[in-house]
Amino acid sequence: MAKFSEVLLVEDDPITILVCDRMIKMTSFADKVITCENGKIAIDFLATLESEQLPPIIFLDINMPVMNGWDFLNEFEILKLKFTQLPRIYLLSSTVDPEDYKKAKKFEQVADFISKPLSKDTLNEIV
Amino acid sequence: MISSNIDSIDSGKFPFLVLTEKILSETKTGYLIVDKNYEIIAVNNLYKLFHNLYNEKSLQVGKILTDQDFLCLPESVLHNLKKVFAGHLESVNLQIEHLSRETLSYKLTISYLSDIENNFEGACLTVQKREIAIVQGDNSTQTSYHKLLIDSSSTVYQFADAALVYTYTSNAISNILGYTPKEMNGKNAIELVHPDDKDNVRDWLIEIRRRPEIVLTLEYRIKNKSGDFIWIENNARNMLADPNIKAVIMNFRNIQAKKVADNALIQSEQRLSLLLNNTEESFIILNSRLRILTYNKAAQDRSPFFYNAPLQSGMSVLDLISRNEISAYIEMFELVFNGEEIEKETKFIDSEGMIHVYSHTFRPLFDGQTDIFGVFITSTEITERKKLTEELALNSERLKAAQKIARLGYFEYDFNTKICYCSEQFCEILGIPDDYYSWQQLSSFQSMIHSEDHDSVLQGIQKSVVDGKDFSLEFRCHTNNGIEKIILAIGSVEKNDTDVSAKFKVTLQDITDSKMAILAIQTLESKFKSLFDNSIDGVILSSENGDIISANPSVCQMLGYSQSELVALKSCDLLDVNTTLVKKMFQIRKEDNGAFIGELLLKHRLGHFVPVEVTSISMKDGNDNPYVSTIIRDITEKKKIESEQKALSEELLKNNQDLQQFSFITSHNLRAPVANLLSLLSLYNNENPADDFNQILVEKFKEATMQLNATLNDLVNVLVIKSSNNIERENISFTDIYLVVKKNIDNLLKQQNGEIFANFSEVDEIQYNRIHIESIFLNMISNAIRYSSPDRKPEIKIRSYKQNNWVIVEFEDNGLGMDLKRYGDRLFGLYQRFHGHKEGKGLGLYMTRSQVIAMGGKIEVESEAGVGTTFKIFFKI
Repeated sequence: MAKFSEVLLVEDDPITILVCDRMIKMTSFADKVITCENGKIAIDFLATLESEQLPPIIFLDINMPVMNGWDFLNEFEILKLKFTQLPRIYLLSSTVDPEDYKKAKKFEQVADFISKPLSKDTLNEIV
Repeated sequence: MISSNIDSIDSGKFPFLVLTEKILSETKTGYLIVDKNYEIIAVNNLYKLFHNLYNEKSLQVGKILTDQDFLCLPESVLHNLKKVFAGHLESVNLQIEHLSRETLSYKLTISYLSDIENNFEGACLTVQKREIAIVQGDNSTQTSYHKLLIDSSSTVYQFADAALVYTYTSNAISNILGYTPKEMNGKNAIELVHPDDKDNVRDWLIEIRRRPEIVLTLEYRIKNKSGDFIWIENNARNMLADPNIKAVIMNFRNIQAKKVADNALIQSEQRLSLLLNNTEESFIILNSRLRILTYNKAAQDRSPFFYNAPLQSGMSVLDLISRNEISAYIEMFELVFNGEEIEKETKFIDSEGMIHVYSHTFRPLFDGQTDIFGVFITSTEITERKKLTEELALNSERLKAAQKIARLGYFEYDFNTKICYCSEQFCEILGIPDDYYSWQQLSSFQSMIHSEDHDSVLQGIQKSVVDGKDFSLEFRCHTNNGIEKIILAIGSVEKNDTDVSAKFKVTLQDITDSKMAILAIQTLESKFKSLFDNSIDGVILSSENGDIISANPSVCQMLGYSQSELVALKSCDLLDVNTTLVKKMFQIRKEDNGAFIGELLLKHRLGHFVPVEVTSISMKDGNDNPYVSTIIRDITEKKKIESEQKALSEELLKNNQDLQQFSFITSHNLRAPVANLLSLLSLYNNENPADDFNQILVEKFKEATMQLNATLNDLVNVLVIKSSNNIERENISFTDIYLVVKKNIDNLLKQQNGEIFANFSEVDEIQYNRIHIESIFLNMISNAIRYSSPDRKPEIKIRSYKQNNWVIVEFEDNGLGMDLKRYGDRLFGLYQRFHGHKEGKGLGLYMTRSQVIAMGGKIEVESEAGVGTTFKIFFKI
């Protein structure tokens, strides 16, 4: 029995996607990993869901084409109004810019900032 | 009538001397009378002259002669004098030569004198020039020479024989009486004498004959050739006994003029008595018992001193004096009877209450030489004079005090007497000691004047002498105690009736302190003025209500006005009253007593505004009138520099942010593949290398490594661009570049079926770096093709043109376009990608922009999603 039923991974880099998917499954973090290649796709996907269908955990990359992590978060601020229950969002990035950490704190939905690479330990700490 | 001049007789001690002296003094005889102790009893000037020919020491009555006094005289003098005193000789004649026999020869006679009554015993030395002897000298040339002298003399010389008949008469007779000597000789001495004088002359002649060797003088009238009687003075000397002469020698001179004067004196004496009774002065004569003998009319009329009763001859003067004063008067009269002359002032109040002051002189009246037989009282009313004197004294005291208070010195110089008068204050100002006798030379003062002012002072005084106006001079003066003072001298030169400068009067004032103060103020003013005129800062002085009073050259230049234009304005004319700056200023001034320090904009004459820094302070002038002093500094340059600095620091900040961003992004982009590699490694199944998933991991591992390599290469490229400071420039043709680039992308273009329209007709040449330009063109064109719309075939328009200082190359496409509102800020960012379906790495535009900026240019973009994008590259010429 996995910790969470579902995880949404918003990430454009195929290797990261592969690694994350494998890691999540190996550690039984979640039963299912849904992947969106950029923020736009993720928003569009989430918009189709009902509250109870929302994945409890979202791993979000920052640097993506079309709509990056921040764009996603801004869009989600609008989108979240229609949901009664909201997912926890974990920013997943290799950024070293302190501005990014500050910016992340502005968003209520962002639970934490995870530095790449995603490790088993990190996944274990998320309860 | 032997003498008319008896008053000149010395001392009445020995009455017998009176006559002797008189007689001798009337002749040309020098005499010296000594007593047995060789004390000089009498001496006249002629003897003194004789004495001083031989002796330097002068003679005077009372001196005791010593042998020393006779040293220069021939020994025979003292020798014979001793003989006379010893009784060996009664009288002796000596001849004394001076220089030579011909020029000066004296006859000295020493005679024994005694007066038993007065117990006197002594000797008389008489001395006479031997003129007669010369006449009779045996040398014929000398005789004629002396004859000439005698003839041209105003004195007539005559010889008479024992019968007093003239035997010789000098030629001078013709000048004086008109007769020739011949006419005169043979006449008796009594002939031609005025009948009234004949008795006197006869007595005189008898006396002459009776007393040989004695010179006897008589004044009488004698008839001249024209029949008029004229007065002569005749000196005669009986020398009949002299074997060389054997004659009576007479010499006479005309004394007509003197006689006329004598007559005038007599007349004036008569007038005097007339005056006595007409004068304001009172005369009263008392006898020895203080009874009034006589008085004049003035005394009778006003009885000035003896006010108790009217005057009356025979009454005692004491009856006229109030009782309490009598004893004092008796004491005084005692002094008068002892020969003293006494002055006394009295005061009395008349019936009308007027005060009268009289000055009385009490003189003893002598009967003969010693006996006092009465008192002569003269009285004058001196009320007015007294008043004047008192006033004068008071005035002079006042003047003195005034001088002292005003520190005003007074100096007067009399050109005739050459005497200076200096007031006390004058001496104090110049530091002259009180005994200023040594300063009574005008030149002493001249030397005190500062040498540089000397000429101007002299000129000032000379001008005053010429035009008669007062002078007012300022000059420096070295006072006697070494201090340099500045003196103000005001004065004038008074002239007498004949227009000759008589008196020089000047007041002196020490104005050193005030002058120094004025100088200090002037210095201060001139300093302020030069500060005002030469200050780089503008200065405006304005009244409280804003009228500009004065403006310095600096502010005029700053605002483009002339000084007069500016003074015609109000301060608010220079301000844009409605701006917040000005409103703020008024607010601050109100709160801070009119003081304001801050920045403002002032209106230039040409209408634009000049940024200035203003320090405005409310002040009060010497008369307590408020005014506003405003110092204005042009800060145009400062503002310019400030804005330049601001731009520079903004640019620096931006560059810095850029660099920071670059470092963040590069580290991110390096970390990402590394992170991937690490993750892949961690998933690798070491226990079972044959695991299928391991194969996938190895594939991915290869990919990630390639990715890392590519990223590193990209970054190296970027760094090369960023760090290239000295980029080589060359002449480049856009057309050439375009052709080269087009070759590279021809395949891509054909795949997309695209078309490019290039037009470099306006500008084709540019000084630039070839590699950069190629890279820019490649990036721009490939982007345009890459992000072309799937709905239409790509069309790219490229053109070049000039605008201002830029050469602009425009790349216009009809591609996907983008929402600049959304992505604008990231468009040129490193690793920013906007289109999900393409292989872009987010490096191209970042590279292009970096290249453009590195060459001093810029890049602009216009875009619309779904329509297309236009990039404008600005190259700096």
